[in-house]
Amino acid sequence: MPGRPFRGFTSARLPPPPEAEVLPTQLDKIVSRVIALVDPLVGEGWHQVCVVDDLELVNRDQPDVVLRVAREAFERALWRLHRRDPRRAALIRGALRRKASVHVIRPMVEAWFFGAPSIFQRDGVRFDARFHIVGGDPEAFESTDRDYIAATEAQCPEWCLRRRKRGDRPKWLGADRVHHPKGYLQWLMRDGAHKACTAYDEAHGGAEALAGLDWAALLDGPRDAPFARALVEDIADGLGQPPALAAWAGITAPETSVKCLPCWPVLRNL
Amino acid sequence: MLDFTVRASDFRVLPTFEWSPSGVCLLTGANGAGKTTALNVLKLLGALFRRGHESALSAIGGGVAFRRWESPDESPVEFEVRVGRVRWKLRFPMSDVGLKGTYGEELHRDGDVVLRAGMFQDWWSLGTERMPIDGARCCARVLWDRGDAEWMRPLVELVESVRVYESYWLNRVKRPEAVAPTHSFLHQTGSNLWSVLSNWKSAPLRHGDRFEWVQRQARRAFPDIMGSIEFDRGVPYLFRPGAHDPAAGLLPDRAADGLLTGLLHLTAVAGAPDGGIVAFDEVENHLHPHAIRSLIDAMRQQAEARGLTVVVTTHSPVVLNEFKDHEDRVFVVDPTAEVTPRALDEVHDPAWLSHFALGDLYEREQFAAPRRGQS
Repeated sequence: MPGRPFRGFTSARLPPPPEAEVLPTQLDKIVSRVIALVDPLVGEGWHQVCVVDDLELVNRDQPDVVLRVAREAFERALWRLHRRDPRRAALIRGALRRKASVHVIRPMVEAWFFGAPSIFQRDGVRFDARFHIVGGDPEAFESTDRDYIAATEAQCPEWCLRRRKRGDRPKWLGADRVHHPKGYLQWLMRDGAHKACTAYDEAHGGAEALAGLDWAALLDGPRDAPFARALVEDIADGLGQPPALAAWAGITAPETSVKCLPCWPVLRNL
Repeated sequence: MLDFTVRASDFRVLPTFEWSPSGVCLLTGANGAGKTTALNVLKLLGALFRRGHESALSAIGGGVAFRRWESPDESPVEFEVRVGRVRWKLRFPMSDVGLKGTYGEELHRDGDVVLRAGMFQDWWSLGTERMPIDGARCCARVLWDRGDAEWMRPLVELVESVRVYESYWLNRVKRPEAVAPTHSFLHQTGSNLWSVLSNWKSAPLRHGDRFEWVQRQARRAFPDIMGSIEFDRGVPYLFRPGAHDPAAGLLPDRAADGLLTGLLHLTAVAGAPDGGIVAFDEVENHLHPHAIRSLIDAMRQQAEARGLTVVVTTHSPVVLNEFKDHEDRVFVVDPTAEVTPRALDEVHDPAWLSHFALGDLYEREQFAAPRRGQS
């Protein structure tokens, strides 16, 4: 199943501001796209649609809120559909329930790379086999690398030369950098000549790394990466291949697991 | 290129315009807010240095309504460019119908005045030298042409690099005249498009891969209709993807307006000198959203690789959406503000912005909206 990129909905703290009652949000657009994909009348007949978004640092402590907001957005969309065409809304509700799910990565996809570090060797990251992650679970990423924690703007001359454009600011200069796996990866791949002082490119290098991720290594320990495990569990379940997960049995995140559903689920896992 | 700042006071609708763009930037605002006026600031400065004040005034439509009408009669219209250690200031004494007399000019180096020409004066001073005003060239240009002011280079490179594209003459593009062998960058009307592309194609050692880049990006932006461009005895032919029959080439007058506009945008960007400034007014005209997205992406590639500053103005929600995650490069022009423009992430909290598509916010008048009449 091909992946399709979308603009995320978690880059600011959720729930969304009151204006979201009248203005369409990024999440509303995602919901519309998912509905268009699973709509049995006009959809593309996809077997399964999984929305996967980073929690980001701002929502890292509240996956429950993020997922509640997502679920409510689907419910709102279904209610709007119901007012226009109850029959079609019922069909879509059924399709969503069978085919669609929303998953999150805590705090962001780069955390998974630290759980399967062989990817770094392939990409030539300056990573001398020292793990700077407390606790072992990459989804609870916390760097203890002193050089990283002490990094200053002086180590990013190109960004300073560019008048400190906010959009290019290296993540490794952020206040909560300790919990920022992307910031740490940028730091490990730092390149003073680059505008953001790193050779790490999320859109290309990050996407390639994700495609080549060693899932077995990521899910090696039974307590490792519970949100990733919930995603794998969902996909395996949707494809009717639960043995695929048996080899990596462990704890799944209850917030997104298909085995921990609310009374009236809207999606496969929410 | 070094960072630069342009400033204008009481120019047309803008009370104070002060701006330091870099990378690919977007100017937005309501109709009549001053977006095109902002581009005209750049155009005026470039034309003034290259060709003198008469040509510069002509380039921006003349001197009528040059001064902001609310400003006092005696107040001059001022312009300033700061780049590195150099500052160039201009003061135009304007009436409602045009220039009242000689304009004033100052050039500073490290804060010290190097040359000064007062308004209404027929001479200017360079240190202890006193020199007559040159009717055809500005004083800074006269000094540069003497060849002993290398320190001016950042300013000269900046103002000479400015290219502003407001509206293309598509009819001329559709009915090209003979290819001119000397054209190596796009005229502001776009009318020499085929000459430029032909020259680039025929001399890759001199012009690098510009032609190939334009063709490649045009294929991305117009995947159904753009295959290749060939020239036969100076006449351009456009081929669809996969075309093998030499007779299948279309003359430009049969090409889609959007394709021609896309080729013009790409040629303008590819032809800009490294570190230069290229500006497009209402960049979205004629373009499908897919083409808009591809072209903005292509502009970003060139800006990043060659240090270009690309400025676009727009009313298109599609263009605005392409600046999601680049909110610090979206600038809102508001002629009622004391100083304009302001970066969008200063107008609205970035965290608030991140919940929405910028195009939706613009369409719903959450920024850059017209000011309603107050009773």
